[in-house]
Amino acid sequence: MEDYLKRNKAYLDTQQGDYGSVWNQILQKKQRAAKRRRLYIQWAAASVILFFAIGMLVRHEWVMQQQLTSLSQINKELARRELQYQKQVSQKWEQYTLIQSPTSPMEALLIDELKRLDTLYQKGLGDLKEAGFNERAVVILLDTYEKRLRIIEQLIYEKQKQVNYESKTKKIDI
Amino acid sequence: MQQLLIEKCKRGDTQAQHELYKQYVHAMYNVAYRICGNRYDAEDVLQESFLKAFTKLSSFKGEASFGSWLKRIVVNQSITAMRSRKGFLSPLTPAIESNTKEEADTWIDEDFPMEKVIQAIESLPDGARTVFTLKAIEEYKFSEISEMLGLSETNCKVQYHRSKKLLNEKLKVLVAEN
Repeated sequence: MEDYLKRNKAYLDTQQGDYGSVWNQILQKKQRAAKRRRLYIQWAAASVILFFAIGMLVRHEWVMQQQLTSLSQINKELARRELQYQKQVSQKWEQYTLIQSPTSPMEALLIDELKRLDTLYQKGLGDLKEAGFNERAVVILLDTYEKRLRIIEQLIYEKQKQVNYESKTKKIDI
Repeated sequence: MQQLLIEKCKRGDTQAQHELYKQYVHAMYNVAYRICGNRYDAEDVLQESFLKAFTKLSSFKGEASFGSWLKRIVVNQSITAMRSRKGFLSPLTPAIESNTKEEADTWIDEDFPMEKVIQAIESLPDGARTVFTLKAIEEYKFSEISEMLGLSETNCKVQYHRSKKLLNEKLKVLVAEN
C-alpha cells in the first residue's frame, strides 16, 4: 500500500479549492490585524504622552507646594520679570537713599506703605503655595513691584522737595 | 530565487506573499483536505495556515525546505480543526478491533483508478484517515505523528495498523467490483 501511494504521489492532489477567495480572506485579515496594531500603537503613544503630561503637572504642582519663596521659582519668564523689577526697585531705592535730608512725615508714611507691600507680597506667595498656580494671583504679585516703584519715585520726589525747600530757606537766611 | 521571495515576504511584501501562496496553495490545500475530509474545513485551515506562516516567517531559518515547514503548519492546523469534532481519535468500533488477525495488504493493480483509492481513504473515520494520511501519504515518522496528535508512539502504530486494515477491507470490495 505504502509503495503504491509513493509511486503515485503526484496523482494524489486531485482536489481544487477556491484559492482566490481564500487569498482575499487572508488579505482582509492581514489588513484588519495591521489596523488593530496601528490603533494599539496610537493608544499606547497617547497614554504615554498623557502619563508624562500628568506627571509633569503633578511634579510642577508638587514643586510649587514644597518651596515657594519668590515668583522666580515658578518659571523662567516670571523669574526674568521679577529680576527686572527687583533691579529697578533696587536702583530707585539707592537713588532715594543717596539724597541727604531728614525724613519727612510724608516719607515715613510712604515707607510704611512699602512695608505693607512686602507683607502683601509674602501673603500672596503663601496663598499661591496653598492654592496652586493662579495667573491672576501672579499678576497681582508682580503689580506690588510696580507699586513699590511708584512709592519710591514718590519718596524721591518728597526728598527732592525737602532738599529744594532747605536750599531756598538757606538763601533767604543769607 | 525562492530565498529572495521568502526574504521579501519576511519584509511584509504582499505581492511576494501572494507569489509564495500561489506556489504552494494547491499542494497545501490537498494536505488539509486529506486530513479534514471536506472543502470548507480545508479552506479555513489553508487561510489560517498561510496567515500563521507569514506571521512566523522570521522564525523560518531554512533548516528544512520551506514546503516542509509550511506543510507542518498546515498539518498542525488541520489536526486542531479536527480536534473540535466529536469522536476524533476515539478507538475504532469493537467489530473491527476484535479482528486482530494480520492480513496482507490488498493488491492494487497499477491500472486501478487512483480516484477509487482516494475515495476509499476519504471514507475512513476521521481519526483513522488522519493517522493513515500522516504516515502513508505525508510520510511522517511515528515519533513525529505521536507529537502532533498527542498520543504515544505505540498508540499511533496501533491506530495506523487498524486504519490500514479498514482500508484493505474497503479496497477489497472495490477491486472485486473492478
